[in-house]
Parts: sequence; C-alpha cells; structure tokens
Amino acid sequence: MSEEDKEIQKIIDELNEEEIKEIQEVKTEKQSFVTDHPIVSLVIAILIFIPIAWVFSVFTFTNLLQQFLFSVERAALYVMVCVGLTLTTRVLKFANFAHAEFLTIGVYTGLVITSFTNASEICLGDFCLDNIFLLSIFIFIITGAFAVLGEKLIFGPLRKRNATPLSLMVASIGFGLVIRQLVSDFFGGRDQKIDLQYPPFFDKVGSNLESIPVLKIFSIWFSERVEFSIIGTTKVIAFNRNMVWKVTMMIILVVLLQLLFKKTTLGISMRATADDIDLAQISGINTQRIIDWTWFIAGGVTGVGALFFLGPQAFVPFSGFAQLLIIFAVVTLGGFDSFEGTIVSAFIISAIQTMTILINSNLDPDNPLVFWSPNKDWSLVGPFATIIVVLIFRPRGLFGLVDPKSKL
Amino acid sequence: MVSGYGKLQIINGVDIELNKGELVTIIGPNGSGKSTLVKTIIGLVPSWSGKIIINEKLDITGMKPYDIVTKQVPINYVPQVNNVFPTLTIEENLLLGALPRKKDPKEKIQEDMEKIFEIFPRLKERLSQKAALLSGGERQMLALGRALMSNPDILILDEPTAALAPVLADEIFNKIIELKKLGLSILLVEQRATRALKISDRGYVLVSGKVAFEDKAENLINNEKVGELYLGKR
Ligand SMILES: Nc1ncnc2c1ncn2[C@@H]1O[C@H](COP(=O)(O)OP(=O)(O)OP(=O)(O)O)[C@@H](O)[C@H]1O
Ligand SMILES: [Mg+2]
Repeated sequence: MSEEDKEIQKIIDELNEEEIKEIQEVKTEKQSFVTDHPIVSLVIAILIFIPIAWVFSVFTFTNLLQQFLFSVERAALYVMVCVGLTLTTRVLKFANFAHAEFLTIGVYTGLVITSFTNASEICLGDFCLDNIFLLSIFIFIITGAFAVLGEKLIFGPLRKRNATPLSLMVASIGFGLVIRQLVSDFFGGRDQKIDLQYPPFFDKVGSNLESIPVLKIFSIWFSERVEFSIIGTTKVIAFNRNMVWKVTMMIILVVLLQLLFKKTTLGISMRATADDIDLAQISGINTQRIIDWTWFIAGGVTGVGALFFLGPQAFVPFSGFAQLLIIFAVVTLGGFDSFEGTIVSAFIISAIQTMTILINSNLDPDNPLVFWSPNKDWSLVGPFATIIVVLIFRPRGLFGLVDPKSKL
Repeated sequence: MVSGYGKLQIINGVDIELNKGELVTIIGPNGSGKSTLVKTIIGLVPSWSGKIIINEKLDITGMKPYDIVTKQVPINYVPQVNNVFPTLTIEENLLLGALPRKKDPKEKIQEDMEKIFEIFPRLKERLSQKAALLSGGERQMLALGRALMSNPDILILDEPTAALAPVLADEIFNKIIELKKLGLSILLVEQRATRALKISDRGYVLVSGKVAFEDKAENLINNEKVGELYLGKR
C-alpha cells in the first residue's frame, strides 16, 4: 500500500467511526428520553395542559389553578386504576375486561371493613383499620387475592388449553358479569360511600405545622380544614387533604412499582416473562408463579385505586364497570403495555376532560351556533376524539412497544 | 425419542448420546427437526415417548424447563431465535441468566459477569442498553453470555453462529472450543457443518426427524455420501 492509500484508508476509518458514534448517540437519546424518564414526560404532559387551557378559557388565574388541581387529582385516580390493566395486558397478552370488577371488589372490600366491623377500634398504635393506610393494605391483599382466584379458576385453565387472546377476553367479560351480579345481589343497588379517614395524630401535626410560616403549606397533608387564599386576592380554592392524599398515594404506588420492576428479581422476572415466556422458563423462572404475582399486584393496586376513586363519591355495584371505558381509553392511548405511557396518558386524558367540561359549561347555550349545552355531557367526547387522532398517527399509542420480537 | 407439535409428529424416534466433556454436533437440512429435538430435551416441547436421562440416572422427561434448570442439573440452552429478552437491559439479561444459581453469593455472580465481559467486551460498553437495540452478532454474544451465567455443565447451542459474519462466527467457534476445554459437555446444532464437525468429537446427521448417520466427526467429514448431501462437496 502506498503512502497515499494509507492516508485515504485512515480518513475512511475515521469517518466510519464518527458516523457510528453519531448513530449510537441518536439511539441512546431516543431511548433514554421516552422510556427511561417517565417523570420528565409526566411534567411535560402537565405543562402542555396549562397554555392550552389558557387559550381556550376566559378564566381568571384562580379558576385555571382550580381546574388544574382537579385535573391532576383525576389523573392520579386514573393512574391508580389503570396501571394494573397495563401490567396484566403486558404479561398475559390479552385485554382483561374483568379489570372493572377489581375496582368493584376493592371498593366493596373497603366498605365491608369500614362499616361492618368496628374498624376504628382495631388499631396498630395510631393507625386504625379504618384509616386510609391500613385500609389500603387490606384492600390490596384482598383484591389481589381475588385476581389470583380469577387466574386459578378461569384464565389459567384456559391458557393451558391454548386459548387465544380473543377467547380469554370474552371469558373475562363473562367473569366480570358474574362478579358484578354477585356483588349486586349481595349488597343491593343502594348508594354507598366511604369517608377517607386519617390517623388521629394527623390533626395535631397539622396544627403544629400551620403555626410555622415556612412549613404551613405542608399542613395540607395533615389538617382536615385548610383554607387556601390566592395571594393578593380574597379568592379561595378547593384544595384539601383528600386531594393531596390521592395524588400522594398515586406517587407512592408508582414509585413502589418502579422499584419492583427495576430492582427486584421478581420485577425483572415479570418483565422477562412478558418479553418471552419460553426463554423465561429456560432461564429458570417459574412463569406460573410470576403470572400469579402479576395478577396479585395488578388486582391489589387497582383495588386501592378504587378506594380513592369510587369510595368518596356515591358508588353502586356497577360503578367499577362504569369506569371501564375511560380505563381502556387511558391504557390504549398510553400504548396498552407501557407503564410510563399509561401514566402520561392518564394526565393527558384528565386534562382534556377538564378542558372539555370547561369549554362546554362556558359556552352560551342560547347561541344558535352552539349545539351543545351545559346539561349535555360531553366530558368523554374530548378524550376519545383525542385518542382517535393519536391512534391515526401512532397506531401503537404514545409509548407502545413495537412488537419487541419483530425487531429481532 | 418421539415428539412434535400438537398432533404433528416431527421427531420420529431419535436416540442420541452426549458423553461427559464431549462436543457433539447435530447437522441436517432445514426443517429436519434439529431445533425440535433440542427443545424436547430442555422441556419446551413435550416428549411423546422415550426418556431423557442425565448422568445415567436422572430422568428429566416431562419436566418443566424451569424445574430442569433450577432443581436438577446445571444445564442451559441457547435457542436459535428469540434468545434474549428484548426490553430488558443487557445487565438484566445476564443477571437473569444467573437465576438458577440461587445459592451462589452476589459477589461470585458479579465475578462471573466480569468473566463474560472479558470474552465479550462489547457487552460491557452497553450494559444499561436494551437488548432489542443490539446488532445480530451482539445479541448472539449476549445469548451465549446469558447461558454461561448459569455456570452450566451441559450446554445446548442451537445455531449460535446463524446470521453472523464469518469473523464473528470464528470468534464464537473459538469460544466453544474454550468452553469444551473447561470441561463442559456441549450439544451443538449447526448449519456451518464442516466448520462445526472439525471441532467436534462426534456428529449426528438428522433427516426428517430420524438419525441418518452417526459417527466420529472426522469420519462424517470424510463420508462421501454425507459430504455430497449435506456438506456441499462434490
Ligand atoms: N411451533 C411449531 N408448530 C408446528 N410446527 C412446527 C413448529 N416449529 C417447527 N415446526 C415444524 O417442525 C419441523 C422441524 O422444525 P425445526 O425447527 O425443528 O427444524 P430445524 O431442523 O431446526 O430447521 P433449521 O435448520 O431451519 O433451523 C418443520 O417442518 C417446522 O415446520
Ligand atoms: Mg432450527
């Protein structure tokens, strides 16, 4: 090789190296942003909401802030009742319509514990069975166990006989129907309600915090009654302990689930089973055990979510089923099997729902150009229109995996 | 052994043997049932009749794969396709590989992972990257690494060099020779038949779910009929 040739060869080598580096950088960037930083995506989703709401509304800052808080509250509830469905879909590869009954079982478990036992006297120190913390743990265990029962009675046997995702789905519709009817027969159609209770020491902590100016804001977690006035005005916004704890519980559950998926053998095995069940077995994973755990965790989280979602309002045995549509909407927009996607999607859908309600209720019903009016319920139309548009451009949802195997 | 999928019989009575420390290669045309055979051994495909026996007395016929790899014998298997977990990171893939060794302390497993990185330095650079983003060759390395993490005595490899550049294939073959020297018993399914037989002790030629030829590897290479039919010699 002549000197010249060597030079050229060297340049070519360098070029290639640089190109390769560039390609790799692009790869890692895409990776890290979308899937590895759910919190960032979440913040962005919230930030998107503000200007849009601003444009569409004639509201004052107070009003906007109020709607924003309601929207976040609702999003937190959606996250709690939706991640379980994402989990079962991802691991078991079918859409579980009986998921709605996990909500029903969860909230009725709460009802049984709080009104049919003297829960306020069964205590662990200051934590009694009727407060949201111990109650959540019990609801988690019982709803989780119920979900495992479904696996043992119905889904497991069906899978062993090589049932298709479609027949599993239809079976889940039937399963849900039976449970709904049983709950309905047992409890009747009466409106029920669970008041969220807190440990008694909360009030004391709250009033202590209130007296310290810098820490006053934190009293919202503890005191039952805190009035928040917007600085410089006399306006008061609704912002209370229940709202704060709904969001806090959501964050606790999401963080715990993230730790489970990323740090524990059980969580990694769950993701491995979702990826490839045969390979998981070869790797020494007892996949049936993992599937049982998946049901338990999915059911448990959903049950706890239902306590906060359905409990404080009036609920009936059909209330869980009534939320099925919006739950599927959230999960579909998120990509059906993406944990992060479901979280972001819950915030987006909740925000759009808030906006739809706002626009709806602020339009003049006498204007002939307006074909809707406040007494027509359009709150689900906005979210579903958005979903259709998103799916047209991104059929796999916001964060859905392209079938991972198709990449291989 | 007889086995198949559903009612479709693929393996029509095959008897093979792998002695301790041996490297045995199975070759054969596409669709002859090589993958089905090894899947039956590891328990992924149910065996219809016959027995799978390890160490002369341990009958693993009809056991689930996870029971075989966790409770019974240090055996591991690298499938022909889908041999890594795509949405798991490389590190997680390797850690799962070590799952059958519940008793071993963390440090020992970490140490073994370092050993894998010595063999496949490319993996170390991409530790926290998802396996789906690896190239074909890198994925084969990870698949092999994942199987090695279980510290197996018996290793079953289904076309570990498929779709690899010749240089990389050589690398994998060298690695297999090294593993054999360490005392592993290896059952290898290969399309690069001549190449594989050259490093093997014995070989089987599988045709339509039956063993058509079995012999010492060098005899198979020199067998005119085998050569004509399966080694691309005229
Ligand atoms: N899951 C399955 N269900 C039904 N039939 C299958 C399945 N997998 C493989 N087969 C059939 O079994 C036969 C043997 O397949 P196998 O994968 O064992 O061949 P192979 O020898 O490994 O081929 P190759 O060299 O191409 O890998 C083929 O005819 C194939 O169509
Ligand atoms: Mg094959």
